[in-house]
Amino acid sequence: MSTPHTLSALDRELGELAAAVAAMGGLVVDQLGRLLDALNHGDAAALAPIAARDAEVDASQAGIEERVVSLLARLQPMARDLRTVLASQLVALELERSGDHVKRIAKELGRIPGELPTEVRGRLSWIGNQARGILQRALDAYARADASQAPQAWADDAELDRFYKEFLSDLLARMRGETSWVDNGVRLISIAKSLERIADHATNVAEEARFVASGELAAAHRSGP
Amino acid sequence: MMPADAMPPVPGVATTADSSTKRGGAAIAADPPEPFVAKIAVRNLNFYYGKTRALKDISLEVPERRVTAFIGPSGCGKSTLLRTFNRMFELYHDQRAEGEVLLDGENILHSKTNVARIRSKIGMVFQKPTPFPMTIYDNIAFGIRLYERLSRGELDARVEGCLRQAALWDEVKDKLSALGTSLSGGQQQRLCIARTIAVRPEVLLLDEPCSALDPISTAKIEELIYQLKSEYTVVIVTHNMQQAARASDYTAFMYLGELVEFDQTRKIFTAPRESRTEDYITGRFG
Repeated sequence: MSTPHTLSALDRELGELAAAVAAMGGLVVDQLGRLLDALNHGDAAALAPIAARDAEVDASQAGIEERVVSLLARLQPMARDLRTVLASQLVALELERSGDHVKRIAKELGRIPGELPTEVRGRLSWIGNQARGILQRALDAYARADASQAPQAWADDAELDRFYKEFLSDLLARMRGETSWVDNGVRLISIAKSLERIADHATNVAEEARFVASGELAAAHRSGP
Repeated sequence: MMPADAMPPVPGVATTADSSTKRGGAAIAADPPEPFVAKIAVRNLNFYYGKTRALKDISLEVPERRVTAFIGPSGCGKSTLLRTFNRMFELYHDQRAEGEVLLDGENILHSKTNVARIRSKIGMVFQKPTPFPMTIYDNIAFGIRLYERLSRGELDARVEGCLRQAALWDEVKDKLSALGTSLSGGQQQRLCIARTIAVRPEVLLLDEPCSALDPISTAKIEELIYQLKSEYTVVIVTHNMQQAARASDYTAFMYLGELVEFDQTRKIFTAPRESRTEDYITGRFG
């Protein structure tokens, strides 16, 4: 904020809220990074700690929600401040859901016996890195209240969706041809779907950045959980 | 109904919605204006205290049967603007208004316009409750008797109706012969509102009506404003931003005698278009 608020408590608490959202975002991006590393290196031992760390993500979301309720009740922010507070709650929710997907993926990967074929690992990794990139850029845009990132997030997500559908189609074809692949195939579909959903949540974060900057409501852009 | 885009330009009312870059999202800031009937139309209004220009070329439409709030820092001209609506400023020497204030198309400021008739159509309630030094009953009946000849039964019914409309009847029905000044501040203010609506005005001007009241009395007045807008056009001047947000449908933000922004209240308080409005309502002014 360029001009300080007359009520310094509002500036301070908005700053603390922004810091809490940034920290939660960093945590989820880190979780996703660790997950992709575990996927790439076939590091099954890393999966359980990643899943367990989701409790930290949930606690961050609860903390942000508490801050938001308190801030709204006591300091009654208006206009851009109000949008910032509302958006913080929604971004925290998107991050919490992304965290749930990371946890789900970690558990599913842990249930797949043996090593994944390199080609499958590579394609999942591409989807995951793309999702991580969208999320990181959306969080950066949110921190700057930068509306311009939202269209790019949609474009990146559309590219991810195309790649995801191709992967799904190839996976289903393989499952039809090799019945021994059905069990793993179902798990891989679930994993790919979760990565795709993380990108959707990331796109919503970019939309919240647009909402804070411009006042354009993001609700109609969201695709839901 | 008069669509807003058929009117002359009004500050703060968007006339087009740019959706070229949106993908189906709703936009607070770019929503087209809601069409409304203008009860009062202010055209190029300038106001002077002696040589000091207190209002600068104000143009504004006050929607009929809606609540419009005027907000802005002290000295911005919001009370001055309100007082032009019933020519209250004429009570003071050296004050003059130029331009037009049209009530249903009739220029209030025109020298040939009958002030008494205008004031019967446009009632006003002030910051401090100002009950007459007479009974509660007579506070209401006084104005009615000036304009109408009613039987005692008709007058009783009218007094009761006004007190009910002002949400005061249950509190005073057993002491109508008590002095109006014996009531609490909040009750006195509702009595003043009852007295104002007793002469069946079309417009209610409220100049900081709750600034001297406790929160419960304030809530009662705000609820009353909400109820009254189905019958009256209400204009309220308030320093309380939350009150403007709660009680009004439209908000005008004024600064240094200028109308900076006028729009639907939900837009002003969520996504104002002018940075000066943003700074003021978020508390970052100056």
